[in-house]
Amino acid sequence: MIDVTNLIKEFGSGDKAEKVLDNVTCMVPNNAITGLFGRKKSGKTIALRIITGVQSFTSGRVVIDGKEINVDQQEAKKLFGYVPDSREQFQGLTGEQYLNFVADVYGVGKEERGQFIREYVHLLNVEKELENRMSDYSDGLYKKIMLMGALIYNPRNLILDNIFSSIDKKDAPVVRDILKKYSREGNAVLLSGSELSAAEGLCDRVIVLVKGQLKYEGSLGALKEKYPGITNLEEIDMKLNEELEKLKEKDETVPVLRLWGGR
Amino acid sequence: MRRFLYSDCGEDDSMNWFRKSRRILALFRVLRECERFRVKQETEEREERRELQKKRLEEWVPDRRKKNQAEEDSSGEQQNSSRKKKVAAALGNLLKSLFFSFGGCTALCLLLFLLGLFFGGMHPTVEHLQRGVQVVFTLSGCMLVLSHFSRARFLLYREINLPYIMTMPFTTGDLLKAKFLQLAGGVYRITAILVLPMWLGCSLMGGWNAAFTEAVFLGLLVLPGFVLIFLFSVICLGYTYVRVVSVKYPWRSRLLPLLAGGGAVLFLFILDMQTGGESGALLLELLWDLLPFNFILGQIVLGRQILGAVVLLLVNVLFWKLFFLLGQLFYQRSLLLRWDLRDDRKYNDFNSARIERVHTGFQALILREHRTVRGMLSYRITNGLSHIVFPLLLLLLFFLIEWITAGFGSGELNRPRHLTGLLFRYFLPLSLIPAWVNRAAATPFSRDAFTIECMLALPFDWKTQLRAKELYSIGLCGTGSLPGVLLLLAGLMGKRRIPIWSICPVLILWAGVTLWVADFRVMQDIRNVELDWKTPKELTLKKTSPTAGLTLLAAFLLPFLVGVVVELTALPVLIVLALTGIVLLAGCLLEHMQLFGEGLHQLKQLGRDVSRPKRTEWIRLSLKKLLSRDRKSIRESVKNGAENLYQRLRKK
Repeated sequence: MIDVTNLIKEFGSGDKAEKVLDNVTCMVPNNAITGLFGRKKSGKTIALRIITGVQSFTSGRVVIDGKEINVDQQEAKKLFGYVPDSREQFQGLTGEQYLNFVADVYGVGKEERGQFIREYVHLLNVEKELENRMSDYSDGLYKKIMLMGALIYNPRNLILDNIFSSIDKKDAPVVRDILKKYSREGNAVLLSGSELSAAEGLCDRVIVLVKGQLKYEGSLGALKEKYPGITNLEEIDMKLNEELEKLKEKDETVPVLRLWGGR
Repeated sequence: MRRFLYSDCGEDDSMNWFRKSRRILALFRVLRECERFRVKQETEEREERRELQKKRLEEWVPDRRKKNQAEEDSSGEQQNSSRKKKVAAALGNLLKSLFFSFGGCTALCLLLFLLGLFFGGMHPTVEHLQRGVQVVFTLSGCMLVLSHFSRARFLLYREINLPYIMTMPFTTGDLLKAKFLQLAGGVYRITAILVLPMWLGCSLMGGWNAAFTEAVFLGLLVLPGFVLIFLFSVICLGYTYVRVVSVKYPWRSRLLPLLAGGGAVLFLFILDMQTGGESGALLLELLWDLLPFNFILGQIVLGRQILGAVVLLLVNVLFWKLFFLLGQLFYQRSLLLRWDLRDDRKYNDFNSARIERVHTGFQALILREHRTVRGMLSYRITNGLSHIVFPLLLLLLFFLIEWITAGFGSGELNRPRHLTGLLFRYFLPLSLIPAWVNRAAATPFSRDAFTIECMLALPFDWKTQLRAKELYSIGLCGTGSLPGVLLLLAGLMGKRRIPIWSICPVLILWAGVTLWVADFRVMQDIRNVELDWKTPKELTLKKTSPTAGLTLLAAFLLPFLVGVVVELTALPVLIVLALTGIVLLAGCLLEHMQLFGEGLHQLKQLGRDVSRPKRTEWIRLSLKKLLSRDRKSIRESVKNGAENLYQRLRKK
């Protein structure tokens, strides 16, 4: 479970400070898949970087299974697997070398890792590519290998940055099945994206960020019921802004729209 | 599935040293593999870029184009000969790369082997190692300083895998150890290349019996290597920390240089007072005394001093501790904060969040100047010349003059008017050279007619654009000539024992000369251009008038003559300096006025009178260019065009 409380991230200082994350409070529970959505520059990637402990933050709390990321760094980092959005990492390694490296780091035994690799290589259809360098991989293949790396030590939380943007339509159902199965085992999954269609039939919870502010937290079904026919995130942004303005007029303490239920 | 986390398995606290080491070694192996791949990839990319540039150049040179056309039309025999040529060129490239990668290394080893033979032959006893070791230390020190500072900074701070590795449960110590191993690998590769041939040569001439013992003591060379690596790493960490701290606390970054500069000036002032005006000479002597450090190490190897070896070992342990202490303190913090850095292009979010605001206005113009110039070969060459070759030449020249003039009553030269004469004779002409050589500062006008078109399209008036160009030119000329001037100043302070206050007039002279030369160069460049719009990139240069050459000659002769006059006459130094300052200021002002008067008028004229080619000709050329490309580049150009159009529409 990932718990984010009053997270603020500012660039610069003094009068010139610029808030890119403004008092974000949300939760990624176990046994569910949570989607973090927003348009470009809405602060998704920075939020994920902060949660994974790669970037500093101005104030707030990030707790992963009871371990605070800026206090118990090493302990907290053992509790999640991460798939980054960029594909610049470990270009010089082969897929097999990369998986072995991750297994070495997390102390996975040779038998277990062999079994895992055999199983997932077959499942994700990457038998032939495992011996090639990762620089030669397509974006989708790279993400699949990174996903394998994140799952090889079976962490309790999984954080995926923009994973469905580059995975082929053919492979997407397999990845979705893997994630569903993984969350059903009692784990928490947090995935980010810029298209709400990725959440369809996958995410149990949806979080929408607009310019660094949390605007919506709830189920996708409830959101769709409230705004039928709208799938575009830009239109939803606009509607959410209007809705929040109305709510603000009534009660100033309601900065986030929270809706549950729906299909 | 079983969870493999240490905390779950109860292994976290009891994780033994062996398991920890395995994790660090795994990280080290991965980082090394990635670095090798990166270097290989960068080399390939550079080659590709060079090929592409060559191809583009060939496309635009009419004669070459005709030649290519003729080649295409020629018979099959000619095609065969071109194939042969290609094979020969490939073989040539292979030989060239073999020569540069292996040949250079082999030549160096051979040279060191010969040196070893020479020292071994000169001193048949155990002493033969003393000189050899000193030479090795000097060589390895120079090579390491040159090659490893930037590498250490890259590995510790800019490593591309770091963001992902930071999500893994590595401690700061683990990261630092892996990085340290990576650095040490490179350092010892160089040290081995330098040490082994020398040792072989020495052993061959000095006798094989002592070779084993000597080899053991030469193993001590490992230790100073470690000291150097620690030193690089600590400097890198400190530098990174200072940069990172300035993000969080801007007032500290403003205060730090002020405090450091003020402290240095105060220290020099007090030192000057205490030593009776010989502080510069004293500092240089202190620096000179530090050089025999390699002699001490040579002594340890020579005398097989166990105590010395133990001291070295302790020094290393101390450095190791210091390195890790500093690392624990701020390495992780630096990495966490680097996304917030304003001036780090690769990693910051700060710039991407406010890129439009930062790079608009006058700043954007100067940045454009810099980006245009940065890619030029002439810029790199002149930078190399003015920062490395020229200062060395200057130093050589200085010592040569010192050597020649040593017999002409050196006591006379200590008098102030002689010193002023020296300054004029040495500094003014010599500080002019790199500023003059630095052609890159004003090349965009006279090399590329496309620049004029860009200038027409930019939403800035000609005056602002010219001001940006002038400022950038001043910056380039100034930074080009500063190392030489500082080096010569240090030489003068050391050898002639000139007082410390003489820095001020010299710097004023340097600033005046730089301003004048920079303005003069831009002015000359504007005068030189004549546009010919048959193709977008073609232009003709006007025949340069002899006045430019004569001015250059006068620039070199005049200060020299002034120096001679100062030495011969009895004019007070302060009056001469004041007069020179006024003259220089007047010269700069005149040049500046000319640039913004006549130069600006000429530039406006250039922009107005461009006889553009007919529209049909442009379309024909563009189509030809488009059709000659492959599909991928067409797609890219269409995409870029669409993006540009979208940006323009959005702005409107």
